[in-house]
Amino acid sequence: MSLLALALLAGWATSNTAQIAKGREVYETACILCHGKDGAGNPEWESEIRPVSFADCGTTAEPSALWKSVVVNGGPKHGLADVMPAFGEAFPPDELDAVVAYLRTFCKTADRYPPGDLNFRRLLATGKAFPEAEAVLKTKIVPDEGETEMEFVYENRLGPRFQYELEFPVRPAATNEGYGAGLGDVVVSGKYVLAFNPARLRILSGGLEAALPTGSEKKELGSGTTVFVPFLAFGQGIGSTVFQTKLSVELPANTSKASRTFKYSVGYSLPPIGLARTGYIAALELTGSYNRQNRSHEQTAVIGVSKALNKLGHVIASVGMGIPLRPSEGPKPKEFRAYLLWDFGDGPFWTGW
Amino acid sequence: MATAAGAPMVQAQGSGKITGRILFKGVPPEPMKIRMAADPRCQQANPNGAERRQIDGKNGGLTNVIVSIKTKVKGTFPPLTTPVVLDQSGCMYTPAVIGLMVGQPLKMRNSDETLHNIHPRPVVNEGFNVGQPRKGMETEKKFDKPETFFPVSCDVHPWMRSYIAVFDHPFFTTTKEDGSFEIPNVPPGEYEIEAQHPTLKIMTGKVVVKAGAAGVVDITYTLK
Repeated sequence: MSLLALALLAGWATSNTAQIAKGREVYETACILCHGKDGAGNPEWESEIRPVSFADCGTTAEPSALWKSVVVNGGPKHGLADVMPAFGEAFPPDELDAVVAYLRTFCKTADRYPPGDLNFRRLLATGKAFPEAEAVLKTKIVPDEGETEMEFVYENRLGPRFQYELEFPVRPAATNEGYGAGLGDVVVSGKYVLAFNPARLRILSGGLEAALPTGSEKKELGSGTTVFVPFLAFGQGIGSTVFQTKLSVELPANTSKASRTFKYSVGYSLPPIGLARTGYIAALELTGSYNRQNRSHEQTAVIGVSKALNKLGHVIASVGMGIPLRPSEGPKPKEFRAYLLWDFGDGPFWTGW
Repeated sequence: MATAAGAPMVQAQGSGKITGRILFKGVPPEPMKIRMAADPRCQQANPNGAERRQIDGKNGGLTNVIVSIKTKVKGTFPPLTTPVVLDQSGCMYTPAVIGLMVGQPLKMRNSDETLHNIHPRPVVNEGFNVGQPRKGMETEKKFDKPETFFPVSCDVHPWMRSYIAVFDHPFFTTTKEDGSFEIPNVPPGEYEIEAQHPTLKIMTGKVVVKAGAAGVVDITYTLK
């Protein structure tokens, strides 16, 4: 290691240690009486109040901006308990940064968890890299074809970096072309955070999906074969905007029933209007697929907007429109997309309104 | 300059005044002992312990009562601009009761070397919860609707409690230790007055005020 690198590392360590020390001082001044010495939410006095436990590593999934806003604006502003006071301008920005850095130390393995600052808002078409504990109801409607697709997605975390996922696609009603309703190919998948860098707001995940042949081929609900889909997902914060992308390859077990297809999607989220956690976020996406066998290449542009429905920001809805740019077979009609998600890792659906 | 909670700086409205006493009959409950062991800084400030008297006063008079005119008084009354101070000192709120005009600033001050929060729980007005972690911190807030007594407390030190009443006129005051009170600058007329105490029911009385003279009214609470 070069002398310069050592010096930079030493400088970082000193400033980090100083920040943690300052954060501890703020914590002991303003937080310890309610949140307790160990940050586990055990007040130092006889009380029925049980504040959030910072020792619970699940809290690493919350972005620092949210924690700072709770300190400044109080709990009710974010749908949290009204006993959490608003400290207003009691702490300058460096002390707010310091106390949040100190709060992060109560989770003893916090450095293994991607922090919530990398938990970028979900897009309509592009998969995200951050491991989630969410239930999502997605829909895609193509009015001109009388087709509605729905998908229920369940995602949950295991440990610091792993997430498993189940997807249940459903066609609730027969299409104009006569294809019947029913369950599509159920997808089972796993995702692991390969790398993350909080300072550079960067996260990379990889995983494998397996689409099981549960859907009827006759109704065009399924492919009739298991399809394995290795993928990479990447997120990059750029100021208050976000770039996300997902690359995947569909590898069918039986290539006579389905063909290998390369899929990609990229999305760019504009700066939030309002708080990043709860405000409106508009996004532009480009999603495409390339089928090597018949050399078809399709692309769709998706314009969407999302917004948290409650103060806590753990129930979010998004609506948008897909415009086919490069259809493989004649002109394709516009499609409408939407999702409703509940981040159950943040609490029950009915809290925080 | 801040004013004491019981002495609103009433703008000249009339030449009369209302005086009297709020009295009580019966045996007041024993004072409640306050345990401050949870916060050593509070204990240091009260080495001999602390107590709260629900019924307090001297010579049969009841203190910590807000007395106000209930009858609609003609005229417009702009908000008083002088803040009323709610001080947090020795891990107690001072004063125990506060009368405010709509739009009048409530200045909350932390005089202790420990964290306090000020958490009013009004029903009509919008509540808030302000944290003051350091000594000397001050925050001002206002209420925009009239409202009878609502509690304000510190969630960190649950024994800290005060009560706030908000009026759309300046004709209110707080009783002194002997239960006496004086509402100055009252226009001539016949008035119903109201007495609010944190733990007793609201009582009313009637009084006639003549120009340049005092209308006198006493109200007596009977303790059960």
